[in-house]
Amino acid sequence: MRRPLRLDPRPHRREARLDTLVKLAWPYDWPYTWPYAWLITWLITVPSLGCAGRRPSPPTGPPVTIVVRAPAELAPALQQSLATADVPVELRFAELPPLPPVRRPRLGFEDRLATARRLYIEADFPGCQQALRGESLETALLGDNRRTTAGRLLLWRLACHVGAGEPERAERVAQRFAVYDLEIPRDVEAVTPEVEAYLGAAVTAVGEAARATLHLDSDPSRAIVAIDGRPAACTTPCDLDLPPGDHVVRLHAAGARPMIQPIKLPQAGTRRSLTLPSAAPVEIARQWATRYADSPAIDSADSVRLLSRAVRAQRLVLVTAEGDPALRLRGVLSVDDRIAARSERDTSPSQAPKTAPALLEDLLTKGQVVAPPKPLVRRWGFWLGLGLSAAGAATITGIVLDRDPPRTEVRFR
Amino acid sequence: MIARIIPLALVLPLALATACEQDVRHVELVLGSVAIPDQVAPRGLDCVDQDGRLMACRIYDPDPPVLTMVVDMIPLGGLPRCRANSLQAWCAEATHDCRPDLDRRAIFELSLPPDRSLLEVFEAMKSELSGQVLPNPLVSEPVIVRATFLAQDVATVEAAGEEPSCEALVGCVYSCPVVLDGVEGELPLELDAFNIRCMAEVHQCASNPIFAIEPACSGASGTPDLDPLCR
Repeated sequence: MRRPLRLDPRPHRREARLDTLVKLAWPYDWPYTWPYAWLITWLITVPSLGCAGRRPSPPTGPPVTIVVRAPAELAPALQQSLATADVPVELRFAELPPLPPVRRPRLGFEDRLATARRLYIEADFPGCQQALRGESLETALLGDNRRTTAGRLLLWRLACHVGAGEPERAERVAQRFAVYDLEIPRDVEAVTPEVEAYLGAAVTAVGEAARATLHLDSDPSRAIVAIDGRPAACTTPCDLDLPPGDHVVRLHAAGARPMIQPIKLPQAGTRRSLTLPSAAPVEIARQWATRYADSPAIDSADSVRLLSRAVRAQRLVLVTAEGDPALRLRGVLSVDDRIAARSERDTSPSQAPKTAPALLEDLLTKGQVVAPPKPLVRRWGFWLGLGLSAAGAATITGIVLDRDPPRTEVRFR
Repeated sequence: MIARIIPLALVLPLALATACEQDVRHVELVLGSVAIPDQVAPRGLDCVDQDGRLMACRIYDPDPPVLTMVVDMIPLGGLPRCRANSLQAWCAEATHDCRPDLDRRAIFELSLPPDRSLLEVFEAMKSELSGQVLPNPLVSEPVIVRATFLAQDVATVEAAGEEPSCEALVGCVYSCPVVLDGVEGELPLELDAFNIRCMAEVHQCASNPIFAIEPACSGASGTPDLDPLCR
């Protein structure tokens, strides 16, 4: 039995086998050259193109602040991967503002009302008036949307004036009560019917009077208006039909300090334009946390604008990760309080750290914070690599073509 | 950047050095089957003649005894199958010459041991041939490598030319058709015969052209009467 001939497994032996097959048709040694030429071409081209693909410029412009909202187990890995993103800008990280503590109702005013009630029952009407003194009290209460307390304040003031025999002052208080459209409090059971009569007359008179229009505007616009302690009456600019008389307007807008403003509305109506002072970043952070910390609209334009001011970032990137097991990475870029770009990726929790840098690069490129990568053919590295490759391939091909073909030695074992 | 260039700088000279060196393939001719490690004599050297005597004993016919090996490269003009009948059919075609290239013939005169023993002759022959290089092999086209053993000295063999002496013919082995440039390793040389009554196959192997339908030497093996000491 003859054993089959063993063919050499090394590449040039395969060349030899190929050579065996084609030798009769092509009696030259050309097949030896190409593997070497292509090997060298790749060895030169791939690193050169890699160099050409890098962003060459150093960090420029203001830093980009990144805020991440993600499940607790994923957030550190996301931040770490974003920090390694290959972008020519300085990256900073900021924490989301925490939710403010629940505000407890202020105490103390109940004591003044109890004191006034006791003095009224004891017929100490000057003392009663003294206990409730302070013109700004009702403005503060209505500005704080505490209409019930404001109603009790005005009721006891009215009672004290009636008891003291001051009908004109009693009428003015009763009229304000009616103009504010307050509900009559339970304390009315403790006052005389004369007091109730003042209230009834005032409510009737105000109800029968023609209404006047209050036109409100603000800077910034889109401020939320509360009128006489009734929240969210409208959003500026807006018109309100109200009874003529004294009113308390409260405006609050994102990024601004709330404003409480007493307004006297004449019969013919009036137009008022109010400027809200800017809020401090700490206050803005509190506003953002109250409105958006647990909201699905966290990446809305208003939220991002407010957040950028809260963290004092001229350029802000908010990255959110939601969903399990399929994870959706969403990113929004805000530049100078305006949304400059949005992007999102579908990924998984394990792949999110790899996806996040690409999301960031996409955002910064769309938002023109960084220049988009140049096309390959417009990079010097590409042409340098190509030239080197061609030269290398030509050189190696020349060398290989010039060398002697493999020699076969036949001998006895 | 530097990290990318360093591997390139290491690989490039290596590739260049690899490209510049000349490769050498080694084809080792093996007398006999490579599948039988302890084979004493290959089939083709153990055939008996018409009298039943081992043809190998002919080396003791001259005085002094002599053994010469002639290695021929026989171009085939293609790659037929290896069995004897396939080769015979191939060489029977007019377009296939199947004659040895005499310019590439190699002749080795082999020294014989002092004792009259074929076993020792074969051992000594293998030992003496080991490592011997063919000076001018035909490597680039399909050939058969044939080794013909004759009980003649080199001068007589050279003077005889292409046709071997029928009386001096000791044995003959050959390889399968092969392009030597396309293989590496062992290349067995043996005779395609079932048993030692293979004189006719030896004649066909040693004829020129190889596997001639009517070889110059004729005759068939008789009943074997083996005597390894050739008495």
